Amino acid sequence: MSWYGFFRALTWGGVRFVFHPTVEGLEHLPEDGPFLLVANHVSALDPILVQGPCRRHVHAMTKSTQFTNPAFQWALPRVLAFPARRYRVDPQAVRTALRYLSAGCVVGLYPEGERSWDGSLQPFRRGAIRLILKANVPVVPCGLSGAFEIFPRWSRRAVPHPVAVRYGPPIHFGPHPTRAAREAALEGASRRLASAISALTTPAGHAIESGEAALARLQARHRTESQVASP
Amino acid sequence: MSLRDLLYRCPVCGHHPLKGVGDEVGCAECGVVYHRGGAPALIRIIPGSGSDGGPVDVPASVLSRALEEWGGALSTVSQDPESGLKAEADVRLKRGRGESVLHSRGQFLGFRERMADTETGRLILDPDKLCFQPSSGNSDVVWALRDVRGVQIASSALQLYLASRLLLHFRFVDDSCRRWDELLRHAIQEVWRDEGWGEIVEFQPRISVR
Repeated sequence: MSWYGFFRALTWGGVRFVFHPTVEGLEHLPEDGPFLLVANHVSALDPILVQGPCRRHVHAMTKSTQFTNPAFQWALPRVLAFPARRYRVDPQAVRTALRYLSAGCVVGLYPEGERSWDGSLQPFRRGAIRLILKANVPVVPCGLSGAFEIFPRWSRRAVPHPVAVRYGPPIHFGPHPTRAAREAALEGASRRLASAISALTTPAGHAIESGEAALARLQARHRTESQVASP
Repeated sequence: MSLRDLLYRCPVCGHHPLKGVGDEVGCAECGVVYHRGGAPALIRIIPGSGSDGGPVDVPASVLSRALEEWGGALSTVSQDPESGLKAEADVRLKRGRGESVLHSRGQFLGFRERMADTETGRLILDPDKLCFQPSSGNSDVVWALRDVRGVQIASSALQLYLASRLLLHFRFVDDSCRRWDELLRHAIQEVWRDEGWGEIVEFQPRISVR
């Protein structure tokens, strides 16, 4: 068994045992050939949730700061992660991703660039969309629901919560051979991908509505109490 | 990582900063306590003593929007028309020391940053510069905001990339990195406007303008 297979069995097995995730849309993952696996980023568990159900090995673009820890520096290359410097433009990360894709491999990407603070989908990094357009390979969108509730970025502990992983049909953006063509297609591709990922996540409509109402009540009560206290 | 990174001011009354660490923070003004409680999907709000009504559960996205309605991070600092915005915080600073090459089984993977040892001190944001006052007593270090080329949050730290290729990595001791991210973006945007360099559309991985 490869290191990737070992870590996948360990982490995905653990996540399945603890959180019982539901997985949908596995049929959309191509059996062979290159593709980009693109997901929303809401928690530190996302790499396990996105890559765990996928039978193909995924080379995930990972922030370079993760490679500073000696344990991660040893483990991350063995789970096929490669570094991207996020504090500056990193053409090497793009070259590495394109090299894997041209070799027929799968590359994982979080186009938001960082975990969401509040669980909502953030604007995509233009560099990520440029890479997607340049790669000209199928893009499989993946939507994670419930992972934010398990382990939000502002918390240090994970708690059990239902979680769902949904893969959508591959999106073909078509060839964009020139920089000008990619720049022209940037906004449209970003909107199309955001829409595809949003459609794969579960909207928290009721919780948001009741939360807004509860917060409005608290704010109104505070205003009233403040007025009484200072006539 | 702390709930205070998300909630840099009270969504109920607008007071700042909130006190507390980890998954529980409280407002000294209205007495409300926010914590990651029984309902894991939500943040539980416990009204202050003397206030009628029980705890309520509110999604993080609703509280996040409420901060914007209070005016965002910008409304947490004094903005004197003469001197402009000013903010201060205790920080742990790491400076970049170049980059090292990463290989795996003979294959070139990419680069990662190398960081110097941690320095502690006070970070002061002025309208046109950032000043770091080391607690060691060494002389202050000043970086002009016009030299910043990228701003981003990495976990709970704020990273700045300068035109000189220097990477600065600030971890806030008792303040919210998200608040500072917003403040710095605003301050840098103002500097770029004053310089006539245009409207910034993206701060990460590098500042780019429309």
